[in-house]
Amino acid sequence: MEMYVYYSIVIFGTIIISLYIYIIWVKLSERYTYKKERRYQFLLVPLIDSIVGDFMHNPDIDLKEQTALISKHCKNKLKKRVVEDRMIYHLETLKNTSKDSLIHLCEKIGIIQLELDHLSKKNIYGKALACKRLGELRSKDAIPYLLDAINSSSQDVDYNALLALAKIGDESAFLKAFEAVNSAILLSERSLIEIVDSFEGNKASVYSKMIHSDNEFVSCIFIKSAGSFMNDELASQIAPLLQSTSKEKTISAIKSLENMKNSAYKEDLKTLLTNDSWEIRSMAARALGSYPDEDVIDSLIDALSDAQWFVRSNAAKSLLILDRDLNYITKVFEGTDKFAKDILIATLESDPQFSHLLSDDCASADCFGQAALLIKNYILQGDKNE
Amino acid sequence: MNNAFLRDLILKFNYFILVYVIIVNTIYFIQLILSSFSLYDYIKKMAYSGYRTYTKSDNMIPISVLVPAYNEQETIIDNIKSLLSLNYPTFEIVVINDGSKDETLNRIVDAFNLKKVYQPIRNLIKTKNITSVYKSLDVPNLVLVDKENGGKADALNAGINISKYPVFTSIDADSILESDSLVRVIMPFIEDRLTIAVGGIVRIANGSTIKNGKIESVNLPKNHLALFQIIEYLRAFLSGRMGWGAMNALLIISGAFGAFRKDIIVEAGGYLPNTIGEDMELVVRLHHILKKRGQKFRIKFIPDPVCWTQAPEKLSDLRSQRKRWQIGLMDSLIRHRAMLFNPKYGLAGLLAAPYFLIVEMLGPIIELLGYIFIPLSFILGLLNIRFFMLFLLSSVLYSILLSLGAIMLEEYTFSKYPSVKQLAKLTLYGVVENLGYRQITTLFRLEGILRYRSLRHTWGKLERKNFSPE
Repeated sequence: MEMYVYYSIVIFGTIIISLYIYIIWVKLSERYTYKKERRYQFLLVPLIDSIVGDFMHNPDIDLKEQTALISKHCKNKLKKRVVEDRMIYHLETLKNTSKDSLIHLCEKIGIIQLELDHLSKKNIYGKALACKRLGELRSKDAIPYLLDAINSSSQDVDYNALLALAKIGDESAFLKAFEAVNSAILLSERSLIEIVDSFEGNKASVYSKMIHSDNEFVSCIFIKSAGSFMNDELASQIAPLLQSTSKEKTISAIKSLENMKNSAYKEDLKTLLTNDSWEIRSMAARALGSYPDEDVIDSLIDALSDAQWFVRSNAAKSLLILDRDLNYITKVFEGTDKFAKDILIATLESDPQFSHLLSDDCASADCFGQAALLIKNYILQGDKNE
Repeated sequence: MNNAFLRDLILKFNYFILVYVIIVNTIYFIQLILSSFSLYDYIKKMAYSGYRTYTKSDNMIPISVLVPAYNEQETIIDNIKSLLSLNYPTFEIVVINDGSKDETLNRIVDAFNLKKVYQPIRNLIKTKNITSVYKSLDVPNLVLVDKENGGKADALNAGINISKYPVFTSIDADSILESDSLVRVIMPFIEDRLTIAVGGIVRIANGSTIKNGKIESVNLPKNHLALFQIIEYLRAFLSGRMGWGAMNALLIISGAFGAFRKDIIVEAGGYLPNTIGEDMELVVRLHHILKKRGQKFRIKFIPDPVCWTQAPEKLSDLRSQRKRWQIGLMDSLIRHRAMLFNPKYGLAGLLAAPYFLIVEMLGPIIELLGYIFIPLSFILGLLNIRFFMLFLLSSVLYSILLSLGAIMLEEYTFSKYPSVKQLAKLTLYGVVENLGYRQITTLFRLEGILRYRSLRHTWGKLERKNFSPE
């Protein structure tokens, strides 16, 4: 037994010493690599910048010599990383028209191939990083490999492959990628919308096709993303979806039209305030606040009496956006619905323009006239009852 | 006869201790190895994580930050200022004053020019009466809730009722968050829609420089107790929780910083009032309910150093804290005993819950018995001194190895204490903690066990210092 304890002491001691040696080695090698990388940056960044500058002035210029020089440097792994980082920096800042030549240069010096090699390896972290970098490099050569990478066992690989295809901006490849996506994918809806938002190709065309996708999950993602695109033609395609039998599609369409602020569909939205689903009523109440139009006020006042708190709250917020002079809300305080009054008061207090309405400084009818008096009376009445 | 029985008992206990120490240390070692792999993965993942793009994205999930406060007049203003400067697209801060007896409420109202508002409250979860809600037009994303005293869990439930966003994070009023902390804690929800809760790592702020609610530089404290706790925290978070997280069997998300999906928490009934281990109880309950229901979910842990808290620097405060932790642990395990050794609850039931029962809950009792039986063995001539010394030495070495492993993980990953001097100091304290500090905390935990019945419904506050220098 004693021998085992001796052994364990020796083993533990060895492990401790090994850990220490390892950590010191890691720290030293990190410091060394960092210094070396700085040296390479100093050497290579001006060279790359000058090549990119020449490209900008004359995309047809013959840069064989410079290209050969960079290719030579790229045989070293660390130097290649420096070159790649700088190329990505330029690709992120350049306008679309100038990017193509630079992407071609990246293909020529073998950076794309390097990342494709990483993509073919089994390590999922290396794969995900390769997808990300291929997206940043935007080379169409990577498309078939990125399509293959989708629906892997790793969400990170899926996410970065989809994002890369979005950045490359090839419409057919992007559509193909999303056709392969189904509701079993574990990425959140928000991350997929972020990917669609990042698409750098013909967005209008992609939206037109995908908002009608048979796959409800994918269709909703494109409908919601389309909201940030502000396109009237697209709005006219989304509007019919307000009447969809799918609750999710209807809600997505409301959100999208709300973002587009296209008032042509406000009547459709008004009718949704009486929909059976409270989620739809709530979203419609919120969306109606986006239209600077007094036509919707009566419908919103009715919505203040909805059974659902969210609907009342959104209706109150929208109402106060539209009724800045408080000419219409007096109707509510002359009525008997306590819930409608309470939600209006709570919303008034959160609005910088109206918050002082309830303070002592605004004791007379000078501030917003009749509305202020009615609200104060209601609050006083409430206090007495308590 | 009696003597023979005693000798037999002592011998059996000695063997039990031997087996116990081997099992416990093996579990710790496995955790350390699992954590190392998880941390390696996490660091690799950081190279391609898109979290920076999300800091400005409209697609980021809006979040409510709940700050329960009870007699926090010293730190609350710094804390709110720190929260207001967080780098996140859409968030609100809901401070819940749980009937503080000090100046907490007035200080917040004065500092942020808050006004009482007439706000209807949805009673998603039943709580003690909310007396007032305050808001400010200058700081539109700050809400102050004043309520009758009901304990931390009740305060958090009130915060959930008032909050308006789909994910909330609860943080202690004595904590400071890093500016990117919300983005980092939300990313697992973005990346994986099965995520229902995320725990963040909590680091000790003692010794570091904090200005205007922000960590300016990270240093080691001069106070010995705080230094010991740095080692403990590194071990608990980087080794323990990271390991359990890797197995989807994480049973604790620290009350100091954790994020939850609101719909799931409301459905589960919110935090359990009248308990001081509400953070652990909630997470254990989530495992209990969702596994029973057969629902797929993930409770994750992120190792980034995102939240900084004050560690007790006085023995009396440390004692109070450890008692609270022990009582909280016992309360959660007793309430959810159905999970113990139950394969229906997966690794959480088969491994994590039994580990917390045998190692964390009963550990202090076993250790105390050891301190009694070993001298007894010596008196009765049953102790092989040579063997005992060797065994003790190997146990201490093992313990040092685990501490050093945690320090190494920290140096390898986030390296918040980068200098060789800091590394040497941490190493020294990792060794010395076995010679006194560890035994003291065991006694405090034992006291927690003994006073479980009488103390399990209290807030158990610690004395806090102001974060900003005078």
